[in-house]
Amino acid sequence: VPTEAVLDPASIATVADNLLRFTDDIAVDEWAECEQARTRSAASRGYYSVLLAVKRRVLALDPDFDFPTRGVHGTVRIAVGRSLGERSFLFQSLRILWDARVHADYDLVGTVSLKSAEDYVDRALDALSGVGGLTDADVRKIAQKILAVKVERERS
Amino acid sequence: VPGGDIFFTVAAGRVVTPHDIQDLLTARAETLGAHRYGELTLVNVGGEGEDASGDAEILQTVFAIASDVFDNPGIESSVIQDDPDDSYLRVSIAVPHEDRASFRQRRREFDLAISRSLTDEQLNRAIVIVTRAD
Repeated sequence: VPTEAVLDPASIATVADNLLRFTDDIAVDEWAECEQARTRSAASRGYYSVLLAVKRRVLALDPDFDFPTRGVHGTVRIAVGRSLGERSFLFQSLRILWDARVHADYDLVGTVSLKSAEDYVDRALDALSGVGGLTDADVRKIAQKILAVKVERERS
Repeated sequence: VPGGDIFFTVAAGRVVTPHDIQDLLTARAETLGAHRYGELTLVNVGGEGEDASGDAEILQTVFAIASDVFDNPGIESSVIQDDPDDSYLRVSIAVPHEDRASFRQRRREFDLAISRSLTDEQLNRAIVIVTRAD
């Protein structure tokens, strides 16, 4: 892990899960009234926890790794698919969570229910376990593919 | 369907086949004489230039797996096209299921079955999402 890293991506998933609970410190009515903001935030945070966990693993092997500044979401997702396989749970979860995140962050219409938000968070937690279980060799492959996809995208 | 949506509800009976869905895509929903439990909603499957029959085959496979793993799954699908050159089939499944932990386990089984059953091309085309229904 890079020495300057202060953000633990898994903690984002913890925050996401707790967005879906009531706490003694927040007025019940106030918390209930912002349910859509909480469920959408949880779905979005779930996605980011996984994306950042992958980035963190890559940076742990190469602290100077040069991620693309534009299109990093698609680049990382494609790289994971090409290195681990498109049938891998991690790749499919990144696609699903990305789709959920786009809706949660940008759509003003439609809802993200409490149950579906919980299920997205659970998927993120499962995917985080998957990221934790990657070998260094897996992560190196992902890093190589990220660079390859980055070059492809710059050329196109 | 280009220019319009088709919605239908199916009840207990037989498996919905690609042929049934194809009938719907040609707006002949009345030819679907038999049914299966659950609710299946098709939204704009196969927009202009899309391979509707390919999408129908994906939906048939996903629906069959969902029905094996879950009770009374509801399916909704749509073609998402953010980029003129790129689109994907979003298949969203809502399952009437209360318990979060047991659903999570079932969802893992479902993910595995989907991964094993769809072809590479189908997996690339579709994003299959399953969550609990409200």
